[in-house]
Formats: sequence, structure tokens, C-alpha cells
Amino acid sequence: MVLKTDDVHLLRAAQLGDLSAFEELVRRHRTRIYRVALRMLANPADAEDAAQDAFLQCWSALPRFRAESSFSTWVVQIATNRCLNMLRSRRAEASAERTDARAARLSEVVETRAELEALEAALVRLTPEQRAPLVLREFEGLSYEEIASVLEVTVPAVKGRIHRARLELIAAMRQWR
Amino acid sequence: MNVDVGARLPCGTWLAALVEQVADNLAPANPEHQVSCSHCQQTLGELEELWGRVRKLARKQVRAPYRIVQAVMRGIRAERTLPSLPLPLEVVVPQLVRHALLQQERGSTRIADSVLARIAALSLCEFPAVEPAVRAAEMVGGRFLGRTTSGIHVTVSERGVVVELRITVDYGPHLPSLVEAIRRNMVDRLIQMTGLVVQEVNVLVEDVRLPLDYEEPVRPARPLAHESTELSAPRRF
Repeated sequence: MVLKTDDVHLLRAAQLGDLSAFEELVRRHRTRIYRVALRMLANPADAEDAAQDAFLQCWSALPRFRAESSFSTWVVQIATNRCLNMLRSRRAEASAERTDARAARLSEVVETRAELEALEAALVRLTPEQRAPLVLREFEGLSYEEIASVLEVTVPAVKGRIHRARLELIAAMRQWR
Repeated sequence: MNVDVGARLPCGTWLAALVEQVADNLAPANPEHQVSCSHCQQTLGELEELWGRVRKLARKQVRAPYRIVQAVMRGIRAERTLPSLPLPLEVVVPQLVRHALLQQERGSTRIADSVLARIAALSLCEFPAVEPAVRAAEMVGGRFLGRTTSGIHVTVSERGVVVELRITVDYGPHLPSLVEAIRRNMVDRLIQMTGLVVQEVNVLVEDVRLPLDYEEPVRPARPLAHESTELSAPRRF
């Protein structure tokens, strides 16, 4: 039986094979992971898949997890990488189709919805390398340092990518005004 | 959609600086100029409005379907794998140990799959001409003594026990009869000890060894009782 415990204890129990402890961790972190995936992939069904995959991967990697970062950062990292892989393989397929369809739909929707949709469409157009740090920064509120450790790049590199991503977004939103 | 990262306003202010100021909620680098500069004020106004949409999207509630949790747990249970940590078995919660469940009158008996595999391994010891696919390090004096279960995989389903076996045999005997004898013996031992239905014993004969190939093994202290059976004469050639 899992009482209200912190992640560290749950994690330790899960590492010893306690399924209910792991279930509680999944329950606690599912919203955040799903949100990251949703903003990265812009598609609820894909986001669900990515979140599931991330947690499953997390389970099988549990024995190797060495509590250098928090559980939360670690799952976010796994989920982000999962999304990046999905995006890269998707890019090989017809991604242009998807965004064009979204863009075409834009003209028909109401004003404020259109604004958000335009923004989401603009997010989709960012390269995966720009989108990942931007999502972690703007939607998850991670610090530049945290993002750098999640993406395993330097802080200046993170700043540079986020900066370019922001300019792209602003340019895209200007276009749609 | 090309954006000039190095764009400047007519007053000389970097656009990049203003974007960062708005998005990261920073204090202006040059407040005095900014307050009085119409270019800065106009751009800031526009950026605030545009970035407001990003903030709005960030505030939008996202609901993760609960079925994510269910799907993950289902996936883990289906794998039925223990985390690959070298754990002493007793720390692992019982539900994770794969087992056969016997409902008896006054309670249930569970027999771990690993026990079934050990029984299968030990039953193989009754055939000196045969050994499972073990590593050399798992042999004692060149002999397989049933101490490990490599090469033996046991699964328990509702329909019974299925044993997957990989073996190496001595050069000489008729393999179908040898394998059938191994199978019959293994099934007998499993039934005798557990009462479980043995559905299948699938055998892959993986290798043949030449008796000439290896030296006379050092005999274990206590000779195995069953060495006199017909199929157990390995050095007939």
C-alpha cells in the first residue's frame, strides 16, 4: 500500500520491484509528461503513445537510474528524447501535409481559438531541436540549466536555440495577424 | 520563415534583447532609453501581445487521460520482467516472481518458474550424454550437475507448463528417441513434484559433442545413481 510518500521513496521501492510504487509515480507525473509530449508532437494520440513509451522505458531503465537528478527531470528527459525520435522519423514521412492541413483550417475558426491554433501550427513548424528546449522553457518552466541537462547540451546552446525558436514563433504569429 | 537574429530597431536596440525581456520577464537592460523611445515602446507592445498567446497556451489546462497509467501498468505486467538488477530474490515482491499457482483446499501454493526450471535441469542430470546449453563456468569438472538453469526456459500458462530446452548431445545416440526419453523423464519429474500439467517440452538440439573432444571428466564425489540407464552410456564410441 502506498501512502503519501515523496518521489525518492517511491523510486527506491520501484527499483526494488514494487509495482504499486511505480504506478504511483506514473500517476503523479503523467500530466507533465503528457503535456510535454502534446506540445512536442501537437497530436493527442501521438502524445499518449509517447507518454506511455516514456514510462515503460523508464521502468526498464530503473535499475540504472542513479538519482543524480530528480525522478521528474529524468522522466522528462526520457519523454523528450522519445518525442524527438518520433519527430525525426515523422519528418521523414509527410509532415508538410499535416501542417498545411492545420494552416488551412485556421481561416475558418474563431478569433481567439485561431490565435492559439496559429501558435500551435507555428510550434509544429519549428525544428525538433528548437521545439524541445522551447517547450521545456515556456510550457514546463524549466530553467536554462535544467534544460541543458535534459538535452545534454551546454547552457549557451540552449539559450541560442530557445532564442531562435522565439523569433521564429514571433515571426509566424506576425504573419497570421 | 526567416528571422534575422541580429535585427535592430531604428534606435539601435537589439530586437533579441526585447524578445528576451518579454519572454523571460526580465528587467530592461536600459530602462531610461526604453521608457522614452517610441520604437522600443511600440515593439514591446507588439511583443507583449504576441507572447501573451504563448502564455495563454501555457496556461491552458492539459488533461492526461488516466488510461496512460493503465496502459503503462498493463505493459509492465505483460512483460513480467523484473528490473534487471541483481537483487536477492526475497526483496522482490512476490507478485513479480513468475510462478504457477495451485489452488488447494486450505490456501494457495505458488511454485516459482525458476523452481520448475531447476526440476527440469535436475531431471537432465539423469542423462550424462546430454547437457543443456550452459557455459563452461557453470559446469563442475566438465559435468553438468543441474546447478544452473541456462538453456532451460519455463513458462506457465493456464493450459499448463511449457518447457523450452536447448541441449548439446553426445555423438552417437538416435536423437528422436533420446529426446523423447528426456521429455518423458522431465514430464514425470515435474508431475511427480508439482502435480502440474506439463503441456509441452520443446527441445532444440543445438550441438553435438565428440566424446574424443574432451577429457574424461572428473567424477563427482557421489556418482549419479541413474548412470546405468540405457541412454546414459556416453562413451560408447
